[in-house]
Amino acid sequence: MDTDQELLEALRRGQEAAWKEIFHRLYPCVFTAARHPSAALTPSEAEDVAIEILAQLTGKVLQVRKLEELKALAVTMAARRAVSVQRKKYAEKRGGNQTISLDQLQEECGDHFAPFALQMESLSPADLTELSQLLEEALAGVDDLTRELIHDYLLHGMPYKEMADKHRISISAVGVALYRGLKKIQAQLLKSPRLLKELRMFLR
Amino acid sequence: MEDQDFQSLVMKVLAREATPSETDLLESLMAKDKAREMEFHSMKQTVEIFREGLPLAQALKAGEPELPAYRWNELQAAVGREFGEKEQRAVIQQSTWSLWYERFSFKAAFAGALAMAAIVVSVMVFSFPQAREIEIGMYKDFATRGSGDSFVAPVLPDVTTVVFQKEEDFEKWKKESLPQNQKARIWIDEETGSIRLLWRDTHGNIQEISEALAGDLKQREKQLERMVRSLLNDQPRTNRTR
Repeated sequence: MDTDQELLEALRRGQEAAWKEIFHRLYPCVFTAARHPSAALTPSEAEDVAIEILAQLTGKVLQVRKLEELKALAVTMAARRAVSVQRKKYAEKRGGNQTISLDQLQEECGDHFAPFALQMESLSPADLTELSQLLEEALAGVDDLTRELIHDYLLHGMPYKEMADKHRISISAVGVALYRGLKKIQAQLLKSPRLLKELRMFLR
Repeated sequence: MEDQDFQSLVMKVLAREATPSETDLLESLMAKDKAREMEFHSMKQTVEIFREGLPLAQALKAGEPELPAYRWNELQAAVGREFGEKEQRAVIQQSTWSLWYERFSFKAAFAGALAMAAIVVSVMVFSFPQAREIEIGMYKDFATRGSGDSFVAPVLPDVTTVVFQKEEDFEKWKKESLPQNQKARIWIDEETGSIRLLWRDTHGNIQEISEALAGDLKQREKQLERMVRSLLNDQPRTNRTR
């Protein structure tokens, strides 16, 4: 299978070797999505989610036109599932099947669970691919230090003090660099008003 | 307040690292200046989009970690469960003809090159809906022992792989009688160096067969697959029985 399209065709025909290949290829993607900071699952819990989502893909292969769509679908499914698992976990911790509000969740979990994550769960795989491209382009437009700070802050949830120590700059310089970097990214997002409008709808 | 100080304050509040007095300061600044209030909300939105989207964008291009070897059999078990659930729903919801269509397209979607064999299995399964599942059991250590490669059980619709974390659970499973909905149970018995098979024949009688375990990992996988396929054809064959 030389191309992605050939691989997709082989998946549709149900070739075992193709499925093995796609499971190995997509596992890092679904695992990383399941480790979304908003869900804050442990590595072991994220592995469970990744396996569950990969298994569910067997029923989705006829719904996509390109392999990239299958990948984006898998990533969105994994992130949603991870948030749902975390939500259930905290609900159980509180006792039984009690319903828990998003505000309560945030209060109890602090920064480890950001409820606005749930606002974007309707993001389609196509939107995700477009958003991903925009963010990549935007990140390419900022300097190395700012890019690292953005990763530390938004991907790893690193506190300001740690970021300042790591990069040997003052805490206020961290804030200013992040602000200016994110402004550049904001300008990039404005290039796609349709997507920005959809993203805004998902936010509170 | 200078722009730079305002920017630093905004980011501190958004990072939930501001003190109560810093939060109050920002609020009073925004109350006095609508432009700064709009600026804050616009940045808050960008942070939220980025906080949500960046991890997903990273996930799309992730190349690691690899699927852990010991998890491979669990994935196969999950795939098996997916098939099982789909078929069970089909039995409840659909007529016979649409059931045939569902079964065929489902198997075609996954079994592919084995399409002809899948049709044969479908006929058999439809005739004996109460006894078609095959369970393969193995103790967790078996999957990763040796060279680091994982032992891979065959991926087939009616086959479920169960990986036992506790030895006592594995022992209990081996001794349990075969449920009505199960066609066979297969396990690797490392103590005796054999593959054991508990099997319900076409007359409903329970048979027990064992076969000497092949030498290396790949041969063992092929051996197990051959055993499963012969079971699906209702003709269990082994190299040596006792």
